[in-house]
Amino acid sequence: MISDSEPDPIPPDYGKVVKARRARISWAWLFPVLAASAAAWLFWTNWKGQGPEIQIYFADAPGIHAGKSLLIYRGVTAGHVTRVSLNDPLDGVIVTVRLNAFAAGLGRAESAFWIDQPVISLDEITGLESLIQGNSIHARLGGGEVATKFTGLSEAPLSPLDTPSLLIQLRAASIDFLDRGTPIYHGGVTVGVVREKSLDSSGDALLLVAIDHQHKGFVRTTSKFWIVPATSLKISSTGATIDIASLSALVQGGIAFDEFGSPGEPSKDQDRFLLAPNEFAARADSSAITISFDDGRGIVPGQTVLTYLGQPIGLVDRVQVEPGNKTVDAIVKLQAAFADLAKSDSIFTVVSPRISLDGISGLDTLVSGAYIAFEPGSSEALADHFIGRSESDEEWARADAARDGLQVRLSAEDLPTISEGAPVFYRGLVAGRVLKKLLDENDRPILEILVNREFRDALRTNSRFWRVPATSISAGPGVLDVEIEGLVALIQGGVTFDLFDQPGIPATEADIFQLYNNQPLAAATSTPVNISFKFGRGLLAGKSELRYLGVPVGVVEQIYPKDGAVEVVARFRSGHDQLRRKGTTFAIVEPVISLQGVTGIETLLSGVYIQCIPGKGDGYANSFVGVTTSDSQILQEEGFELQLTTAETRIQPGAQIVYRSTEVGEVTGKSISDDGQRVILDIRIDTEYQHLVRDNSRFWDASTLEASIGFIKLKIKTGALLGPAGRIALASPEMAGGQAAEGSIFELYNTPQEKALRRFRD
Amino acid sequence: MTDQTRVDMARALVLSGIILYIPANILPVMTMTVTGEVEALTVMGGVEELYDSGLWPVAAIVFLASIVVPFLKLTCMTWILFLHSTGHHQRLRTKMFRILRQIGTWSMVDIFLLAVLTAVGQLGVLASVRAEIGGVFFTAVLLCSLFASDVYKPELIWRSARVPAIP
Repeated sequence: MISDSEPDPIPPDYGKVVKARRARISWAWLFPVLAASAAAWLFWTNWKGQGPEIQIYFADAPGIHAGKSLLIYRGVTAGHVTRVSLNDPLDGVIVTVRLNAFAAGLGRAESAFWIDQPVISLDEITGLESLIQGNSIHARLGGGEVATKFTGLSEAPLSPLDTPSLLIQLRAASIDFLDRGTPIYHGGVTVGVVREKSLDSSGDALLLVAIDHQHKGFVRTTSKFWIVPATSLKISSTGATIDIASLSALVQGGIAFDEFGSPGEPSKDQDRFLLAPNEFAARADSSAITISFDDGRGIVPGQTVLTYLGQPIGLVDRVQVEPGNKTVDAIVKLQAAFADLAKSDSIFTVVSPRISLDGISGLDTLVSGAYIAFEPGSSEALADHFIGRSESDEEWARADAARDGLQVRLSAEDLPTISEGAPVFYRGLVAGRVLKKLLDENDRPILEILVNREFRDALRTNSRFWRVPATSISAGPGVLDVEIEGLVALIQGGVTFDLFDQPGIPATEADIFQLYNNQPLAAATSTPVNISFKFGRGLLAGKSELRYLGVPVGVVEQIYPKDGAVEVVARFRSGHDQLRRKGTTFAIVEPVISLQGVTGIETLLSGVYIQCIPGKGDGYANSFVGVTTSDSQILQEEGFELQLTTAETRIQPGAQIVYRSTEVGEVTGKSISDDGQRVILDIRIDTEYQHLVRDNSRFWDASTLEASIGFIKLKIKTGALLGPAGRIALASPEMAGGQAAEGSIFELYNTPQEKALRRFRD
Repeated sequence: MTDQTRVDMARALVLSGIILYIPANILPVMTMTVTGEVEALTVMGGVEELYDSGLWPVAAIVFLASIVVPFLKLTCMTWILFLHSTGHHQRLRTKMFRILRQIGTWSMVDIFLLAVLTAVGQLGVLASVRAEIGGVFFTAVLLCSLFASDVYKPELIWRSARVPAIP
């Protein structure tokens, strides 16, 4: 390198002259400036955003942390806690809060501060934000001087915002489950909240209620407040209803109010109201009447209702025992609309449930509790004190009946399965009920029944009563009919009445009716006929029917053996008197299964019945001799009866009678003549063909068929071809004689008679 | 870029870093809301929190990476730049500068952690993490020291010396 030992006198190169430049400052120095100004700006805005510092004294400050907890005003962060310390005597906490600049105005002497903690109740969850952000201090702006030292409230004030709520007081006997936060409903909308629960100077429970500012117009001086039960379970005869007002009210319940249509003046702060235990009590608030009862059993204050025509119109407010009079006084409040029904001669009756083996009465009261039935009087004067009656349901009903129902007696042989209170039906409608079972002077059971007012006209002197069986099963061909009456009738049995005849005169109280065992018996109204059978197999009293043309027309009432025969007492329904003419045939039709066929098969299911064939005789008889047959067909057809006689024949009953190969009748019977010499066939020619039978007609056995092959005449017995019973041919000569009379006797020929007939012509 | 520019730029960046280091450590870098507890954490607060939770190895790493390393980096850089153009401790400065650069690769671990926490820690009501202004300053500090060590070259330590290193 260059050494300084010998300086050059002249430098070889002077170089360029460079103007001395002032030292340039690098643009890089902008960075520190920017950084410094950014930091400065940040600190400055931070400082500027800070308002004054205030100190709040709290008895305790749970969850308040310096640097973390916030001061909230109207949901907005208005400051933050900078320091939390205990005060000098260690009896409180001093929380220092740095207000934000925009919230500096909160530092007024009357501002209120409180610590908002999450309240998780069944009713609602408040302060949920404090759950997330931690507890915070809340503020309410007040007036007054600027201040920096405050005393915090121990709990949230009644109206957290400065728009004042309407504060009213509710007084109640029992506010067990009502607490702070219980909602106040008006028309189902929450309009307020219970702020405080306390006692007033006289020791009554007092609820301080805040009604929201925008809803306070709904509270009138006439408003009635009542407790909405948390969950109401109503059990009535129509079913059970569970009412859940809302999830929040599920356990806690609520308070509702309404003025029930009489708006009064708008309410003012600190007005006092009574809190009724339920809506019904709130409604029934007008005038109190006192009813004295001999027996106060079942009357519960606040629950027992007063019903008018079955509808509740009042409520027992309280019950007082009067030892002096040995009475129980129920003080009842009526709904305002019904207050003027309390006439001086009104009747009050306690209806309470009664359960016995006989039956259940007042079943509705079993779930709803006893009630007081109210029957307003007709007097003009109003009264406020009454003597109540304590009657059982049945006695009450009896009194009821005395006024408007018709009470009649039914007499019967025995009374199985009908209990007191059992229904009385008329054409399926409940027309009354059985009041009482008793014995008359002859030890015959008697039923006292009550026919309701509206069915009075249906009951005539000739009405017929019969028992309703709990369950009836009837079987017919192809039909199995199981009939179960209503549940009540199933348990209690029942009585039905109806009119099978022309309506008679309306029945009166004194009438006694016969109670029949079943409907067919009751329906058979005519005078009984006696029919005597040799054998009564299959006949059932009260069950076996009498049929005419296959249709039931009567019923067997009694069966008893008499003089070696079976005597049947039967009755026809009205309108079948022709069956009582002399000469009427009664035949027991029973099933017969034989090689010749099956007859009367329907009786297999329906049981035997008595077939009636009306006689032609003049006048009526009450006593008949019946027959037994297996063939219902023969009895069902009317015809022209004739008899054929022959020495011997294979023809059997059921054989056809043909005229020009057309069936015109049949053999109905075969018997031996009295002298034993001849066979008599009963035949019947169908009515429409009876003109074919003439005096000179001939009958012959046509069961055989003749054929001639060449010289040989071949006789073939064609029984198998022409029917099992045989066949009888009928023919008349062309010169026909007069019309044959019914019952005429003809000869039955064994050979064809065409030739003989032709001779007539010749 | 002349050597002088490089030195000036490095000096400016280091100065900026020092200035920003103050708000970066005072202001919270993030707000953690865990089950209702709101906590604004500064870098140091985060270290404390980790230590309190018993995670002292992590706390140590974060403390080293976020507080010690930036601080050391800034002070060392200041020292290196202060002695720039002098011949003192040239060997030591070179070695130190090399180490600083090595460490510098780790300095962003904190910001990365913050970014990941902010992105992942969004569990609604239960927990949420929000980045705060302090994080910006912190990032700025790290960027400053990063660029400062980048623009400054170890050759400059030797080249600029007015006094020959080896007489």
